[in-house]
Amino acid sequence: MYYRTDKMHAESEQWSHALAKPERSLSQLFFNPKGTEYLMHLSLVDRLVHEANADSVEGLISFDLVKNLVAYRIAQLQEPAKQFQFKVAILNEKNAEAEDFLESGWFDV
Amino acid sequence: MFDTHATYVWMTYLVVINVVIQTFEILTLDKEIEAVWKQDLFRNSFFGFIFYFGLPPYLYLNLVLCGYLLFSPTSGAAVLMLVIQTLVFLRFRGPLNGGSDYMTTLVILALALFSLVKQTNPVGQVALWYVGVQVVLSYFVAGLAKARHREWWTGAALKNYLLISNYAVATPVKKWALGQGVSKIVSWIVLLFELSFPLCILSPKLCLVYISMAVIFHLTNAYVLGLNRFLFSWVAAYPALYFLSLQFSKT
Repeated sequence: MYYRTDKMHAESEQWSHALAKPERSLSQLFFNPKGTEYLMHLSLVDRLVHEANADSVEGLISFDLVKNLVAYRIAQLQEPAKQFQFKVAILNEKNAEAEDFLESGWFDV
Repeated sequence: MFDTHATYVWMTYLVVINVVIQTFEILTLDKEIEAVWKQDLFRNSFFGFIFYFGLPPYLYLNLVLCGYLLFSPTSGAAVLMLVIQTLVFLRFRGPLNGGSDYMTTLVILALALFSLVKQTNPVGQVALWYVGVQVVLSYFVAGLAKARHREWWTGAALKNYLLISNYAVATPVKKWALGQGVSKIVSWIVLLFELSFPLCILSPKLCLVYISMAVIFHLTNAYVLGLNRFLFSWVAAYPALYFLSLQFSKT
């Protein structure tokens, strides 16, 4: 999943990764809250992809949850933005390339 | 003697470890969870009232129940634990971590059922068989799904999975996965382990061998893919699997 803010959009068309893969060590073999948080977020995006066949994607709770997730990520940035947009890309396992699946509208942070 | 009651006692101890770890993980993430699963998702609903103080009060109660179950396994506290587990599902509009939450709930459901019926009631046994069969199927179906793809037999699927998947794969493993030969060998081990898993019910000794391999499998997944919640979720169900193998070998 990717996001971009109004500020980023003004400077370039680049998207940033919305989910940061956490580093892991052997000490986190049994208790790994950050890893669990990452997997919870992945599950949210998976759920949105699964439910996104509905007519109105923006009416889905999974869409609201993913939107909250991106807004939370942006709020943690050193230079918070006013607006953001996100997109979900699905990995094509045959050619290992990401294909755009869903692109949201612009939302206020 | 590993009878129905003893099986449930073992399942209780193991599920307590699992629930304590899962509960502390959620409590650690409380701020992050509130930022995404906001309370206003429940606005104007009955659930808004239930979660007025958020999830933590229920999670602390869960920890108290865990302590109680250690001293009084197979008690009715399992029923309350099942209620809290259901509330967690409602709060997150579904499971947090998919399969691991379903397996945890299944084990707690069996414990709750056993606490409600007399110890001689066959329902307790049937619930154990059901949990045991679910464990067998969890591996076997996963193996079948992999076996249908030629890429799994050549090692290419595992290699791609480790290199480009969404999971946060441990860095040393990524370097190691670049070797086609290694990923092919590991793929075959995983396929043979999962596809042959139903054999474990043929004898209790064989079952212990498979349980040992399964623990190694989950420990590896915890390190490589960060799927630590699956480890104790499945371990808590293994007494039911062992019970199933004992019953099967008798017949």
